[in-house]
This record gives sequence, structure tokens and C-alpha cells, in this order.
Amino acid sequence: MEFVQYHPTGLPGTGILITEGSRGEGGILVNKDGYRYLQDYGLGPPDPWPRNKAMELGPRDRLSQAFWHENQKGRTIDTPHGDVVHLDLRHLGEKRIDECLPMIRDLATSYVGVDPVHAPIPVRPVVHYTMGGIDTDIDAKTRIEGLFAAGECACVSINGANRLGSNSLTELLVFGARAGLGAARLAEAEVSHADEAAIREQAAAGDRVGRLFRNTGGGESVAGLRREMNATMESGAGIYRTEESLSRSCAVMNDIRRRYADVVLEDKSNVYNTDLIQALELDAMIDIAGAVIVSALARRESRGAHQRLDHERRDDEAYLKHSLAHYVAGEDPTIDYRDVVITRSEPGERVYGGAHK
Amino acid sequence: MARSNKPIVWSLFAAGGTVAAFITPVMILVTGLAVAVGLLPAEALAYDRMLALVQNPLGKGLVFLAVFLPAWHAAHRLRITAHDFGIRADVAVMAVCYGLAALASVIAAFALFRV
Amino acid sequence: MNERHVDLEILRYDPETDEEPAFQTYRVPCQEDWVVLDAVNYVKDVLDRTLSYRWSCHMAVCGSCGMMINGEPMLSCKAFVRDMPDRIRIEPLANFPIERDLVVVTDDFMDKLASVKPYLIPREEKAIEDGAHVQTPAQLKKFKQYTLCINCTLCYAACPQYAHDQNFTGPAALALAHRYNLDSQDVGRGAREDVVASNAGIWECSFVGACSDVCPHEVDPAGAIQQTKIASTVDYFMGLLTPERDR
Repeated sequence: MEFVQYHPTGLPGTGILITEGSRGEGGILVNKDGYRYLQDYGLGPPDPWPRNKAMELGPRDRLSQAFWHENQKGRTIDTPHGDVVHLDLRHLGEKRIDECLPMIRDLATSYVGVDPVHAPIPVRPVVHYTMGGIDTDIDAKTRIEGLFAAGECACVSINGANRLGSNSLTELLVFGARAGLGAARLAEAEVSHADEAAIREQAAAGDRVGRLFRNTGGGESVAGLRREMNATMESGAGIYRTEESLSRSCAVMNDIRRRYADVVLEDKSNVYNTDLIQALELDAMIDIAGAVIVSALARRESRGAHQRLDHERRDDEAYLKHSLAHYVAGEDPTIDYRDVVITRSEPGERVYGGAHK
Repeated sequence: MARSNKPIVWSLFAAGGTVAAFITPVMILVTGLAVAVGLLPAEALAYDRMLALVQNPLGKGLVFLAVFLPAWHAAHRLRITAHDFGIRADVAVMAVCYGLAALASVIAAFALFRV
Repeated sequence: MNERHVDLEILRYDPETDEEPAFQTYRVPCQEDWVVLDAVNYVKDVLDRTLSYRWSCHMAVCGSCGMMINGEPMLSCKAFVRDMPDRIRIEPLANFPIERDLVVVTDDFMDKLASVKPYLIPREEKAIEDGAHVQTPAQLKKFKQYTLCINCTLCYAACPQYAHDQNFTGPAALALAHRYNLDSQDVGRGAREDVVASNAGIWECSFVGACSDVCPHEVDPAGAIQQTKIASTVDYFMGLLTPERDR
């Protein structure tokens, strides 16, 4: 769960995604001095350009990390919605932009008032995808008999520590199909695998929904706790992490967990109650945030989207493994590991741009 | 659900619309305004010339189409418009609209045949 | 950032407690770059947690947040407050039954989509070993526009024929049928014609064009329906001339 992908080009404020395709068509990333800064981070050389696989098409984690460093050096641009760099498409010309990137032109013009034909688009890394998820096998089966999972919520894993764009399509089409077919086959089998007594017992003991309806007192708001959670996750478990930042966020999340008990439903309706839905989602997100932080604390190395300032090297000997987080009621999740299965490609040095030629 | 028979009326509507769009304005210009504003000499529309036109089989055919198709287009358009204005007695509206178009077609055919 | 106070007049309805829907007004301090969805989220987060509505992507690709905004069906995530007056009236999408507040029952729309067989009916089944189905960019271009529909149902809210008669298959479903009919890999036009060419299908449409006006992705369902009328008319007369021919 420690592996969360930041997409390097999201609009400030809304976080709306500006597709990688805009860099694929030849867009460049420049800092406040108009300098194509990616060349300082092992992704260069900038020339010859344009060319296929120009440095702006480097991996998402490297580009997001480069932004972080530029930000530390004070070379990003300050805006009311945070620090940004510039994604410049002007050199593509209006015709090419309208033909290949019409949606980008519309999004940038509507949401940040910038027409990419005439001005660069302000962008910054935004949280985009969770590589981790519910542990499943290649048939989308989870550890619970009869429960299947597919898509971003699942982890087969086809993504590892870093994820290629559009792999989510694979997850939906391939594993969505396998999950559906598997579930149908299971349902058609004569035998019921459900332990109905156990389910009834768990439902009674859990009863999260009932508790929320019955809760009185209040003083904590779902939106408020959610905002605090967002803030601490961004600052403590963001692009770069340290033991200290993660521990701090852990404490904040534990506090949020405690305060969640004081959440009271204002909406008591049984019809499409989104107050209830948001409260339940927050409950789950608090658990998941805990899994992210604890997994990140346990992984004392840097690998892909998980970068530790206090453990900068990748350590295949100790950590060429998948982290597995196990839920423990009332406590931090416990972490154990499973070896990565290598079939075709051995892990190698990550070298990009023209440097390895 | 059964396939509709609307294509019969609609093809007349579509063809009539095309004719109405291209031919009717020209017809109005030629027959109504051209002589009055001096674009055409009065002799161009003299009786014997017009008679010769509609006595010619090709002329009969063209004039008929120029009346028949736009008439059906107008009938269908009026039927839809009545519906859009909230008049929901569709069968009655159909009878009136298409009835008038049919009448116009018959009269035009009869007149052209006779002339 | 400049802030502007806007009054949102929102239609509320809880079938458990209300006889009928009624408006409730909220005063929201809106930022310059906000969309109506941001203002509605503010109402829920800060002023009234009982407000129910759908939304997801906040970038006009998921189609969840359709609402009537000052009488026009719009995606609330793409309706900019800067373009609105100080009083904004927000109602659930027209022509659908209200489930709760701004949430409508979309079951009829889902049924209409399914009814047009929205999947490829190929000329022949091809095993994976025999390789991929081939389609050129030119062939894709023919129907690409009609693949852009995000199922937001703004077109159904705008259509006066759907307002009058819920049997109407409707703009999005007919545009979707057209997408498959135009696909070079598909031979299913005949299979779809029972629904598409019925009196409740394309022939209910009188080309008002409101659907294409409100479509956020320029799918042009009105154009799709008119093109289908031409194709269906040809099919109809061909069918009369050659009755044994089964499309």
C-alpha cells in the first residue's frame, strides 16, 4: 500500500489531470526560468528534440520527484492554488492541438483560464493511482471465499512499485472479465461456501451503519476530518517520506481515528443517504491511510513511487518483496512480506534518456 | 416493437424538404418578384409560354413535383408542429394535414393532366 | 482570490418525510474559479449534510453530476459560477423521477441503452489465435464521434419528446445504436432495427435538436438520429422490394 503514484501534470486547485498525451505530442516542462529542468535529474539530454521518448516522457515517479526538488530549490512558480511548473504546448501550434489534444485545450481554458495555444499550462504532481490494493490471485480471487476484486482496488499485482499509464484499462478488461466469469462459475456451483452463522455474528458485532445512526454528541465533521486526513497524508506520506514525517502522520491518523467515534449523522433518511456514505467511506479511508503509512515506515528503502529521504538506495536483498498489511481491530496493521516472483525481467538499474546509449 | 411505417411519410417529407429548400424560393422569385422588379421581361411569363411549358410532358412532371413534394413536406411539418404545440389528437391532425396535401396533389395532377 | 456570495436555491425532497419537493436556499461564499458543484459541495460539507446529489470526476468525463441549473440541464462540474447570476436555481434533471433531492432514478435510461443492443455483433466470430480484428483510422473516424457519449442523460432532460412520452428510446441510446451501426466491425443494424426503427425509436424524434445543444461532448445525437432515419427509410423500401432479404 506504500506505493501511490503521483501524476506529474495535474491542474492546480482542482487536480484535474492533463493527460500524458500532451507530453507525448511534444509538450515540454519548464520551471520559473523557462528552463527544461528534467535534464538535471538524469532524464536528459534535452536534445535532439523533438524526438520519441524525449525526457518529458520519463516515468511518472521521476518527473514528480523532479518537481519536488525544483520546489525545494525555489524554482517553481507560486500560484494561489500552490506551486506549479509550466507545461508548454505552444510550439505544437493551434492545428495540432485542436486535432490531437482538444480536450486539454478545453480543460485548461475552462478550469484555469489558460489557452495552451497561447500560454503554458500551470501543472503540479497530483495523487493519481494506488498500485497497492486487495491481495488477489490471477483469477481475481481474494482470500475470502466468494469475494472477487478487480480494478484499482485490487492488487494482482501487475503494477509493482510503479505503474504504466493506461494499465488500469488492462485491470478492468482482463481481470474484470476474470472476476465476473469466476464469480458466475462459483455462483452456479451447487455448494454454498458462505458460513452464514459467522456472517450473521460479524454483521451484528460490526454494525457500523447502525452505530452511525444511533450516535449522539457530535462535534466532529466528516468533511473536516477528511480534510485533515488529506493534509497529513500529503505532507507525511507524499512524494518523499522520512521516518519522522511518516510517524507524525501516523499520530495524526490515530487521532483522527479516535475522533471519528464522535461523528454523528445529520441525515437520518434511509433513501440515498450520502451523509452515511461519506461517513462510511471516511471510516474505510482512515484504515487505508494507516496501511499506507505503516507499510511505508516498514519499507526502509526507496523503490519506484515510494521514496525515503532517509533510505535513498534501493535494497533488493531486503526488500524485493510485496508488503502485506493485515487489519487488526483497534491497532496499527501488521506487515509481512511475500517474495516477488521473477519470471522474465531481472531488476536492473533505472537509467533513462540518452544516458544509457 | 414493430418497425414503423413512418418511412413512407418521412421520405416524402425529406424529399419535399429538399425541393422546398432549393426550388420553392426560386419559384417565388421567378413567378412573384422577377417581373415586378424588372429582372425578367413580362413576355418571359406570357400565357402562351407558360401554357407550352405545362403542356410539355416533362414540364407537367416538374411542375407536379414542385407542388406535390413541398405540399407533403408542409403537411408533415404542420402535423409535428401541432404535436409540439400540445395538440395531441394525432389521428385528427393527420387526417387534416395529409388530407389537405392529398387534395392539393390530386388537384395539381388533375389540372396538369387536363391542360 | 475574489469571493462572491451566491444564493443557491436547491430543490429538496426526501420521500420518507416530504409530501412533495420544496426549495431551500443556501448562501455560499464562492471563489472566482468555482463551478456550481464546488458550491454544492460547500453546502454539504459546511451548511447542510442532508443534501444528496451525485458527482465523481469533477472534470466532465464521468457524467454523474447532471442537474438543472437555472432551468438548463448542465454538468454541475462544468458550470462556472462566474457565468451565473447571484441567485442560482438548482433542480434534479428534468423528465426523470426524483429519488432524493438532486438524485434521479435513471432506470429507464439504463433499459433504453440495453434495448439497442449496444455491443459489437460481428460478421464472424474470430478465435484469439486467428489474430486481431483490423480497423483502419478512416473506418474509426466514421463513428468515433458517437463513442464520446458519457451517459450523462442531459439530452433526455432537454428532449421535449421524452418529456411527453417516456416510451421514446431517446437521444443517447439512439446515438449509441448509430455508433455500432457505423462500426465497420458490426453487422447488427438489422438486429437493432426493431427498436431503433419503431414508432418509439427514431420516428418519435421531430428534430428539435435540444439534445445536441446540451450535450457536453458534442456527440450530436440529433444528427445521429437523422442519419438513422435516412438509413432506415432506405432499408424500409428495400425491404418492400425484396421481402425475403433479412438484414
